[in-house]
Amino acid sequence: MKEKIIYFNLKKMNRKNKILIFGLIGLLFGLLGVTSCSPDYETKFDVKTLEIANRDLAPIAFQIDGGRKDIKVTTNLAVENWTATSNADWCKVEKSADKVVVSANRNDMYVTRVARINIAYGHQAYSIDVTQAGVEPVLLVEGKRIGFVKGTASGGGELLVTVSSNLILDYISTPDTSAWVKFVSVSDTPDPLKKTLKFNVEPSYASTPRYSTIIIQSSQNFDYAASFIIRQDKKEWGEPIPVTLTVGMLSANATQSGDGQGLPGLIDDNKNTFYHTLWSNPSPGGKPHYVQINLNEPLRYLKFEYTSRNGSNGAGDVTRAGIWVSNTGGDNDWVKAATITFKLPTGRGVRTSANEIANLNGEYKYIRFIPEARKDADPINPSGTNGWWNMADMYLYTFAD
Amino acid sequence: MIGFTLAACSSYDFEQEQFKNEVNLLSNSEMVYDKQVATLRTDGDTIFLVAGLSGTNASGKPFNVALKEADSLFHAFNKSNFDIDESRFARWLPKECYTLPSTENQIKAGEFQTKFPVYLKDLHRLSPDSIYLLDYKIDSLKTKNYNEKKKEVLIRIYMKNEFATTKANTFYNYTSSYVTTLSPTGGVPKRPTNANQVFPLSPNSVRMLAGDENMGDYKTALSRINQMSIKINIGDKMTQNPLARFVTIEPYKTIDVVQMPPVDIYNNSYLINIISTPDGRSTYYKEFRLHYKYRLQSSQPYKEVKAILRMEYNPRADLL
Repeated sequence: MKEKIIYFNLKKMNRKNKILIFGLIGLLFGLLGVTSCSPDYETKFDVKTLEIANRDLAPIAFQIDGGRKDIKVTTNLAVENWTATSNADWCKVEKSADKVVVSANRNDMYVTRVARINIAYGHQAYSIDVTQAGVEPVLLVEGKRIGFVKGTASGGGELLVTVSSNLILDYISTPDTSAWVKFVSVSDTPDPLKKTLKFNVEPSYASTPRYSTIIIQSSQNFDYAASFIIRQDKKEWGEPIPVTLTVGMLSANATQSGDGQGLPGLIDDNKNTFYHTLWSNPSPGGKPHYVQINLNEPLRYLKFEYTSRNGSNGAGDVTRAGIWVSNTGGDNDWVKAATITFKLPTGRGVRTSANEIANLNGEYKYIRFIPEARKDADPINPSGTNGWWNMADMYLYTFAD
Repeated sequence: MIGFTLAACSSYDFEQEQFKNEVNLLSNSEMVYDKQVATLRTDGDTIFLVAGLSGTNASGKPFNVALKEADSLFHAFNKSNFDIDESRFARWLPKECYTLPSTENQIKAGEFQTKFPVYLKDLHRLSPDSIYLLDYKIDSLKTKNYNEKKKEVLIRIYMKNEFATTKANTFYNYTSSYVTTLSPTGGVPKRPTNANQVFPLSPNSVRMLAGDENMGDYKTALSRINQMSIKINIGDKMTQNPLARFVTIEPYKTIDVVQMPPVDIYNNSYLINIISTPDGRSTYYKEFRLHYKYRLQSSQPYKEVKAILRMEYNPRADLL
């Protein structure tokens, strides 16, 4: 028997069978295409997430008594695989499967304390700021935190100031520029909220009141500071006592000859005579030009006046002078005791008075009047021929203590 | 013919083409190994002297390496760098500051290096201005096959703490700072904007110049540094801000310096300041915030300093 060759004769197939065959072929190719495009690596991952809702990321503010707050955490991680930490010892964090509990005990400090907690799994990290209020600090000087003025007499002495505070007062700052005020101590009073600050104030010899601002701080809260002002009255001097000057009491290191009447012209109470220091040659040794006065008796308080040179342009009118003192009058033991200033005379042959009374801080017989500035030179440069100054007359006064 | 040719080829010794295995001490072109920086810590730190094995192929057998102390490179270093200026010569690392527990080691078969640990301690005794060296060479009696040109090495000791390093110049810049002379006529505050070089002294202290003082040429600055420098000690975290730490200020040598109470932002602290932009990028700064007064001579008035000294840094770089 001949084998039957079975083959598809498309021409003899009916329409239904053709559709079926072609449909199956198409489906087969489609499946082949899809499977050949699929990746040959793993695409199914187990995604680990750690999420905190925005509303739970708001800063946490504890009151003084502390407390606790729960932060809800949405995560598919095991508890041991993510972290919750605090950067401050006082702020505690405890994590559990679905939340972090933030807690704090009472804050007995006088400051608001701050912490930051961090909840993280890899790059998924969340930070939350935590603050806790502390005890309210009190610091008042005679009822005011700033602006109180404590007056004291020119004679100085002990000064007491009452401060109301619940803080330890361990930083009392007096300005370096106010060397006349010295802080001594803080002492308690029967009232636990009141303390007494003690200062020593030196006597004032100034002709105007002087002021010093004192700042009070505590190491328990440096930011909460208070301040007050110490005002010291000016010295009330009695009547000035004229000191008679004679030529025998005077000497100088740089008198110009041939211009003026020399030292006698300085003390003759005649505005038409004058004293002029050296301008024709360099100053001896490059030193400032001075007039030395050997007093008949030691004095402590001096006031200088002078009459401006008559008939000149006023360039030599002295505006500032140093008052130097010595125990021996020799060349080597001079020290500067005071600086005095003058308003410029209002005309030629006009008298002007020093703005300050020179307090020599002791009684001295040997005095040097050394101008440091004049009308057209401040400072006076003694190194060349420009160290000169002039005046018609000099007057000296003292005061009883 | 082909057979003869092939037979001839098979007898060629390719071994002679390979670089030999030779022991060498790791160093740069000037024979100095200066890549390591020791951290200033109370319990000390460890650096390594590295012996390597050159060669094209790994060795199938171990190589013994033995070291001994030397001094030829040390003297050559000073001569070539400083000539006769002995005041600037590098110094030996003091014996009490290090131990080398073992001078013999082995490069294992198949490996290319071995390390000799050098245990460092008490580095706070060292001056941050001086160069400290150790000098070792290969013990030729106990080490076979070593490179003559790399048989000796100088180890340069650098030290660092969290705030500064001696490996590179560390500068903090003044910002929002004031220096005011405290005298009745002193007056107008100066506003420094210069950079202040900071040197590590111990795990928690640094040295810098006071105020806006200038040390001039660093090579001749020893006396000026001693006269003008202050020492900053960094302490515990501040309660108000755990990113900040208390600092105390004291004289380095002869300067008269008085720490003043905190005022405003000048609160005597060391701070990691993170300044963020609205789009979320953050810039990190290490900052010293100081309030103190100082003078160089007792006849001078004090100068009050309110200063913020700031240095930008990358916290991720510290983790590398």
